[in-house]
Amino acid sequence: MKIVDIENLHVNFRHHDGVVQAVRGVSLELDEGKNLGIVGESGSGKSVTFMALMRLLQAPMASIEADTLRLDGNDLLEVTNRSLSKIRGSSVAMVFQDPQTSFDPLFTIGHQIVETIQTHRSIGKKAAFERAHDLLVRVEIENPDKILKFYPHQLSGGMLQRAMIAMALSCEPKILIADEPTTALDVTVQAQVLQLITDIQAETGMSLIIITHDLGVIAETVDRVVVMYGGRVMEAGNVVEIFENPLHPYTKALIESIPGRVAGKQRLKEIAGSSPNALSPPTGCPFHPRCKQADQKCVTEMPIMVEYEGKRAAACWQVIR
Amino acid sequence: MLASNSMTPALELRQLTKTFEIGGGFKSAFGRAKRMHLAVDCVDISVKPKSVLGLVGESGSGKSTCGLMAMRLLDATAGQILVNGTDITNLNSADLKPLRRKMQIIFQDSYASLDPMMTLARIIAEPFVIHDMYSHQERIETVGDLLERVGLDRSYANRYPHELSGGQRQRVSIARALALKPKILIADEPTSALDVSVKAQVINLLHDLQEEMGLSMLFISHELNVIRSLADEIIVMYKGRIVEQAPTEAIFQNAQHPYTKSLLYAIPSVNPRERSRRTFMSASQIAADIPVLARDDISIIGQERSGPQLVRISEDHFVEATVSN
Repeated sequence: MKIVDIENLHVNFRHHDGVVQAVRGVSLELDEGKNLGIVGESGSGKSVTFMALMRLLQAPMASIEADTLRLDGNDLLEVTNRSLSKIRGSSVAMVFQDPQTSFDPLFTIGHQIVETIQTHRSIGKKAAFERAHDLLVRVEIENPDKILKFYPHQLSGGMLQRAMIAMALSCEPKILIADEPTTALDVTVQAQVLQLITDIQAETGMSLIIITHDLGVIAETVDRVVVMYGGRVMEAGNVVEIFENPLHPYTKALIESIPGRVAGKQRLKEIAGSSPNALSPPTGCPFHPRCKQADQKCVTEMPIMVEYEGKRAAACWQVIR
Repeated sequence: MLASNSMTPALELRQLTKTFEIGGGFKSAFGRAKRMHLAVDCVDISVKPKSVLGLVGESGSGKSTCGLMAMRLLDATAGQILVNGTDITNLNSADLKPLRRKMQIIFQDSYASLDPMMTLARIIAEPFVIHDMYSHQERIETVGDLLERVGLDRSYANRYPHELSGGQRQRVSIARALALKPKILIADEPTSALDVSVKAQVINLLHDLQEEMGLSMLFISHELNVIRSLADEIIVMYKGRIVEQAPTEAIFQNAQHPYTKSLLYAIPSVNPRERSRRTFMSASQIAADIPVLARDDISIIGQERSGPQLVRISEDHFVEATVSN
C-alpha cells in the first residue's frame, strides 16, 4: 500500500516581487514500510514538498495544487483541521534540522514529550512519563530520568536531536519524515544519529523519508532516492544505481562534486553557476543554464519524466536520446 | 623586527592556552566558587609560509578559539602568538592595526558577518577606509575587480547582503578579507553552511586564491573530507589539545590516535554498497585506546608530563600517546 502518494504537486508563495514557484509539478510515492531519500540543494523544493504534504503551509501566503496528495490513506486536499491534527502525530511525525528551535525553551524535555503523548493518547501522566522514559532509553540517552527533568538548553545538539526523535516516535507514527536531521550536528554525532534512525526503522517497520542536501547521508541510509532541482524531480531510483550509474547530468555533477573522495590537494569538480531563481524559473529544464549537455530543446521544452529499466526514472532530453 | 626567512612560520602559536570562567555573575558574588573551563590547553600550531594547515575537531574542541586568539580577537590566557617571527601577543590595538592588513579571517556565518545596512561596495571597501587607502575612484575600481575575482559580477556592488544566496555572501566575505592583500588567511568553517555544489565552488575559489596570492592559510573545519582537498598538513584537536598532526594523506592513510580514527570512520561513504552497521567509540573508549609507545621509538615534544602527551613518531607525524619505558 502507498503511504505517501503525491501527484503533480505545485506550491506557490506570494511574494512582494511576484510569485515564488517553489514546487513545480512533483510526483513521488512511497510504499508502506519502505524508506526514501530526497536530495537537493536549498531552493530545490525538497522541504516545501513535505511541508505541503503535512499541510503546514497556510493560505493565502501559500497556494497548493495537486492531482493527488495522500498520506496514509487520507486525502490531504480535502481534510479538515480537526482530522489534520489526528494525522499529525499519530500517523506521521516530523523531525527538523534545528532541535534548539523545535523544543520550547520554557518547558522540560519530559514535559514536552508527555504533552505530545497525552495529546494523542488518553493515558495518565504517570504512564506517559514512563513511556517518555522508555523512549529516551530507545534513542540511547544515558540517565533518562535526569534528562527528562532538563530544559532544552542543558543538552548538546546531538542529545537534543535524540530527544526530538524520541518525541517524534512517541505516538508510534507510521511514517517519520526527517528534514536534514543531522545537518547541524558534529560529524561523529551525525553518523550516530543516522544509525539510530535506520535502526529504529528496521525495528519498528515504519516508513521513513529523509530530506537532505548531503549525498553522504543518502548513501548511508536509504534504499530509494529522489533527486530534486528547481522545484522538479530530476531523477529517481535505487540508491546503488543512482550512485553507480546516474542518468541525469545534474545527479552526475552532484556526485562528482563531493569533496575528499580522492587523495591529494586539488580542485574539486564543481557545478558552475547558481541554482535557479524561483521567482522567474528558466524555461525548459531548470538545470539547462548549468548543464554542459544542454541543447535548444532543453532551453525551450520541459523534459518529461521517463521510466527506464530497473524501476528508475529521469527527466532529461539527453537521456532519452 | 626579525628578518623573516623562508623557514620562519607565517603564523605560530606557542604553548597557547585559553581558560574561560563559567558560573560567574550573580551567584559568584555571593561566594559561590567559579569554575574554569580549559578551552585550549598548551597548543603549538605553526603555519608554514604559503601552505595550508587544516585544523579539525568537533564543536568544543577549541579549534575556533585558536583561530580567534591568532587574530588577537580574543586574548590568550598564556602562550605566544607570532606572525613572521614577530611576537604580537601583547600588542595594543594601535600597534595591531598595520598587522591586520597582513592577516584576515572569514567566518562560517556570512549572514552575521556582513552588515545588512551596507551595500557590497561599502562592505568590501571598508578596509580601505579604515586604512586610508586609495582615492574614491580607485576604490570603486578595486571593489569591482575583487567582486570579479571571487566570481561575482561587478554590478553586484550596489546590492545588499540579503539579496544574495549563501554561497554568494560567502564570496563577498572572501572578497572583503582579500581586499588588503593579506599574507595570512584564517578560514573558520567557511563552507559548513553551504550546499554541496556551492561548497565545491567556494573550496575551489579558496584553492585558487591560495595558489595565486601565495596565502598562508589556517583552515578550520569539522569536516575532514573538505580539508583533504585543500590542506598540506592536518592538526586534529580534541578537548582543547592536539591529539595528532601529520601531512594530509598520512592522516587519511595512517591515523594513529583513536579520535582521529573515529573522525575518519564517521565520514559518510559515498558508496551505498559499503553500507554497514556502525558502532561508535564513546569518550571513555577513546581515552582507553590512546596508543602506548616505547620511549625508544619516539621523541618527546616539549616538557615531559605524566599522562598522555604529544610525541613525534616519524619526521612529520605527531600523536598524543602514553610513554612507556
